Amino acid sequence: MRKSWTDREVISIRKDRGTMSIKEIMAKYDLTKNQVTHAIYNYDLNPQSLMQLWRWRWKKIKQQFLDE
Amino acid sequence: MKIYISAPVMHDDYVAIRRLEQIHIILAKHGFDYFSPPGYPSLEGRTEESKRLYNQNIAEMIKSNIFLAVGDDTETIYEAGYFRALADHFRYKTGAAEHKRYLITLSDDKLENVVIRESVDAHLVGMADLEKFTAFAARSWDKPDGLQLTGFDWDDHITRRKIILDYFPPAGDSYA
Repeated sequence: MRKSWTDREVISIRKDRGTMSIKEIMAKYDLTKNQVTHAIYNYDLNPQSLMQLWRWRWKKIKQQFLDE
Repeated sequence: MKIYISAPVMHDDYVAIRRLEQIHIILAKHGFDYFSPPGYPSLEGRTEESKRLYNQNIAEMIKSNIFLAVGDDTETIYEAGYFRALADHFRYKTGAAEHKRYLITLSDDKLENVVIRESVDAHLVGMADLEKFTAFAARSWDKPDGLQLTGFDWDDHITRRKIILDYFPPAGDSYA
């Protein structure tokens, strides 16, 4: 079934994708595979949300590096 | 295969961030292992933090088989030169074929700089080329999977990869 998304949901899923499989994300959010792949590959986040996601990714990588 | 994406962007540059997200999506869709460096803090001078980030970026580059250069800023050109030197060094080592490294550039235009053009293995013009490259490489970079052309030894991975890269010549338009 087609799902309407919010940027917050998509950001959450894309953050989880860094450490979880598609199957795990399907189970966590109770979504179909098509819905999960749509959120990861196709949904167009608005500019502020996309920059928020990337700031989070960069911060996470930096922290991992500095902790090593 | 691991891909190092050298595409330094300012943290408030939406256009560059959107492009980076598209690159990640294309690589992820085809199941590639890739790494994007997080960038450096905007601090004056050398710091313990900037040194550690630099060392980690270099370590990630050494682990990578493909260097994807997006843009032509100083940081990307420096890293591309470092990677080219790694590739050239291992070229002369016995048994290095399995660990051969490839330098690929991605931009919206043809490569104008002669030195860059001569040093890269392939040049991708725009996201459409990146889509094509990842589709070819996903099927045949490490081992052939359903893609069979006559006249080539598909068990020879160096030849196989050269055929893929030759679709995206540094000096001109892609064939497609």
